[in-house]
This record gives sequence, C-alpha cells and structure tokens, in this order.
Amino acid sequence: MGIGWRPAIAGTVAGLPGLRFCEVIAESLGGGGRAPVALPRGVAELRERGVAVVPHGVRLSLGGAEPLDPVRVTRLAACAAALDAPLVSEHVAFVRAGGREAGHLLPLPRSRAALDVLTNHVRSVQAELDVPLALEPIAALFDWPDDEYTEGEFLTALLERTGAMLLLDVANVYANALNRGTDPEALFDAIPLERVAYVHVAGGAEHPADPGVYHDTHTDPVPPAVLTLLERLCERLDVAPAVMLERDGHYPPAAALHDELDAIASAATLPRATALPRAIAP
Amino acid sequence: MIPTGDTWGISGPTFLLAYLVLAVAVGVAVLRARRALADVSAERPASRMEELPYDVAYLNGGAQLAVTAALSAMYRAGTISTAGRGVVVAGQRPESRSDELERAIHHAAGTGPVSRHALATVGGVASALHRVEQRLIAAGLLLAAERRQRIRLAGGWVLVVAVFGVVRIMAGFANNRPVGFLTVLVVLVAALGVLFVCRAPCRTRAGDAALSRLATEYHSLSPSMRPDWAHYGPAGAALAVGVFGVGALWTADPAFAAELAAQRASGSFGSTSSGDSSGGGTSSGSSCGGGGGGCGGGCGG
Repeated sequence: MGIGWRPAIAGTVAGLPGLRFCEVIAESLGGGGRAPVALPRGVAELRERGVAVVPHGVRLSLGGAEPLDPVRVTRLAACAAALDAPLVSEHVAFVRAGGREAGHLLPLPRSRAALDVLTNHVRSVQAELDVPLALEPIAALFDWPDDEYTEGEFLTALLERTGAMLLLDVANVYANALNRGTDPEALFDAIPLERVAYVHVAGGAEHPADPGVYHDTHTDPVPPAVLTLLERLCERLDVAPAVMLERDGHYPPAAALHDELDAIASAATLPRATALPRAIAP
Repeated sequence: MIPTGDTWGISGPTFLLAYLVLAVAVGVAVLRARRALADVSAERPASRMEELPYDVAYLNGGAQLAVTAALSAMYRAGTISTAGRGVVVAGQRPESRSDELERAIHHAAGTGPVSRHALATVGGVASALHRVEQRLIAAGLLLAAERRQRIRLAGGWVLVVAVFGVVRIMAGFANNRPVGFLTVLVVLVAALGVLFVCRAPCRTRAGDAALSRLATEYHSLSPSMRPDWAHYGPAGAALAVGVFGVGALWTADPAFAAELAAQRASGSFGSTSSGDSSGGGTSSGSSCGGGGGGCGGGCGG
C-alpha cells in the first residue's frame, strides 16, 4: 500500500508503519530547472526507512504538439536518480499549447497523429531515464470529435509501441465511464492489464454546479463504487498490484485517512499501511 | 603641563593590554559559569513531552504561548470561539479528560468574553500555568527564578572589571595621561556586564535540547510544511504552536490568528531557536526580562 506524499500531511504519512511506497510530485522536488534536486526531509526519511518513492511528473506534456522541454525531461531523470526510484510516472495528456500553460491535464484526441507524437515523446523520455516509465491515462470530461481509436485501442497501441508500463487510476476509469455512460470494467478488457505497474485510487464528487458530471477532485472521499472497481481490477490480476491513495487537499482527520487507506488495502487484498507488517517467522 | 610618570607605574599600552586580557578572561569565566548554572539535573525527568503540548509551549515561549497553543487547539475542538480583537468566548464544554489548562480557559471564558492577553492572569488559568512551570522546573527543563538570579549575579564580575577600569581612567585622568582607548574598552566591558546582569536564559540546556529534538521530530508540523490542522486535529495544532511558536498559527489558520490578534513574532523567551529555518516564528531571541521593573524580570509572565 502507498500514498501520495504531500507536505501538509507528511506527519501522518511518516507515521504509517506498513507503508511500502509513496509517490511524490516530481516538479515539487526543490529548485526546478537545472537546480539540484532537493529532497524534502520527510521524503528523505522515508527513503532511509526503505520506503520506495516514485517521482510522478505532471508537467512534461507528453501529448503536446510542441517538442518536449529537454530541461524538464532531464529533471525527471534527476529526480528518479535522487530518489533511487524503481520507476517514474507521467500522464497521457498535454498541459500546454502555443506557449500557454493550461494548469490542468488535458485529454488528447485519440488520433493517429496524436499517437505518433505521443509515442515519439515517450520514447525520448525513456531514452533519458535509467528506470521504466509508467503512463497514466487521465480523467477527461469530454472526448475530441476526431477520435479514431477507442480509449482501449489507443492505450494498447501506445504501450505496445513504447514498451512503457501502465499506471492505472481506477478513479479515472470510473469517472470516464460514468461521464460517458459506459461500463468502467469494459476498459479492463481492452487494455493489457499485465502491464500495470501500480494503481491510483482517488476521491471525487459531482460538482454542485455541474449535476450528473463526476469530477475526479482528489479532495473528496473515495466513493464505494471506486473501491468496488478496484476489487474487480484486482480479481483480474494474478498478483495484487501496488495501490496508492492520491489525496491533494481538503484533508480529512488522520483517523479518517487511515480508514480510507485500510478500505483500499482491503479492496486490493493488500497488507494495511496503517499496521506494522507481520513479522516473518524464523 | 608636563606629563608626569606612568599611572601606577604601568604604562598606558601595557595596562590596556593587561586590562583587555583580564576582561576577556573574566568574560569567558562568566560565560562558562552561566553555562554551568544553566545545566540543571532533573528532579523528575520529563516523560514524553509531545504528550504535554502546553508544557512544550510554555518551555518555548512562556505563559502567553501556552495560552495561545491551548486556544488554537480549543478553537479546533469547538470549545472556544472568538469575538474579534483578541476576545475569546467559551464554546462547547471540553471533555472531562481534557487538559487542566483547557478546562481553566473554558471556565474563565465562560463567565463572559475575556481578552486573550488577560487570560493568563485569571485565577484558574494562572494556577494551571503555575503548575506547568513547576513541572518544567522539576523536570530540569526550565530554570527556577533563584537559579536565574544566580546566573545574572555571575555577570557582576564583569561589572567589577568595568569599575576597576573606571578607577584607572580616573587615576590616569588625574595624572594627565591619555585615557581614550581605555575609556572605549571600559564602556564595552560595562555594556557586556549590564547585559549579563540583566539577561538570563529561561531554559536549561536540557530544555533547549528538548525543544530542538521536538522541532526535528515534528518538522512535519513546521510552518514551512504548511501542515493541515484539520487533518492533524486539536492535538496537532497545540503541538505545532508549542514547538514552532505563533508563526505556526499564522500559517495554518490566519483567520483565527487575526481574530485572536496574535502577535506574529511569538513573545517567546530564550535565544535558542527551535530549529525551523523557514522563518515560521519560533523563539525570536528576545530574552526574558520585561516585567518586574528594570532588568531581570521573570520568565514567561
């Protein structure tokens, strides 16, 4: 079990005795640009404890039409090296276009041209990295009109072309299916689940001003339906995958966060992060 | 007038050098004595300090910081609210197992709105704070008034050196010898003596070490981490203010801090920072003093 490391709840994360891994936003690791990677004290302490830490990039804009910023790519590789990370993750999305920053992860049109650009970008990032790259499909509130692939086809082609791993966010799968009126489990049939490196779980809600539309907020509790979807996913896999909670704000009291972590561990049949790992019998 | 012989048979430069050596030697001796006097063994060693956040706050910033820490926790728990401009009113009843200081504050604010500044002097609150102080003294973390007095008095030796310098200046002046350099030196020595006599640390060395350990161990509560107090709850808020001062309150809950009219720099004592380098407002180095008229007032009042 893991959790996204965030400074505001770092004390609680540090206090999880059974924590196996966590994820840290790569762009939050000190300095930026060409400045040396500075690990926050809490993250460095987790590494000393043997907790694996995965840098999670959010600003590479792998799906952007413009060339990748080489400084950002080098930076991601430097983060992985500083953390001695087993892998690195980024999103199947774009965050800037025409020199403008969106401030959000935006969905790509699932076209041949977009797939070609994305494939090239992913390959050039992989060339810089010493560790595998896992790609996370995002939650999107809309589809582009010129889609040539289904989501499953697009992802499968991308993973086959690049050899990248998959970071599957079950909350994103749930959100996309709910907002498109499709079956969330259908995606599981359409993508190579054996490539799942780890799994994200996050909360979300219908926005009061936007009824009927589910927003993947990361600031609300994880809905029971997302936990059920996680169960379904784990049933399809031979071995329970590494699963982590992503919470980015409006943090609940520590006890409620513990309960949420335990509920996720239970759904994924993983040892709890909130309890000491069982001693290995001599 | 023709200059006569050297004052006391010692030439000016020789005396100046010897005086400088004497002043430095006495200054160093006094510093060592102050250090030794601040190294107190505990009658009753402290248990886990983090379980007593108001003791931590008192140790870091005296009675006012202890009250601010309690108010921060009580506001989170809903047992007090504010009426603006630093006025506090009682809210829900605290649990019976809550800290004595919280119950005393709730009682004091229950009789009507009360100023945050006045709280520390209200009967029950003052008693609770007194017990915190006595506990810290017994644990060898806070210096007793008598011990602080001895620390200040040790500085008297520096003043004796200054007086000796004044005597030489007067003799030199009477002997019509130049006394400019010596006067400057004596003024510096006298200033150092006054500083020593006026200022004494409030914490023992063990107290400084305890605070510094807590700041390291609980760095996740430091203002630089922007800790979420809704997540950490009342106990986390109390410990954050206790260890990192009022700056922690301003970072985590600026609206409540403004309502409370909390001073941004905590009115803390002692010169040891509790370790947060983010400018979050730990002990700002203002020694105790204040109160009691002139110099050398009590700690934490």
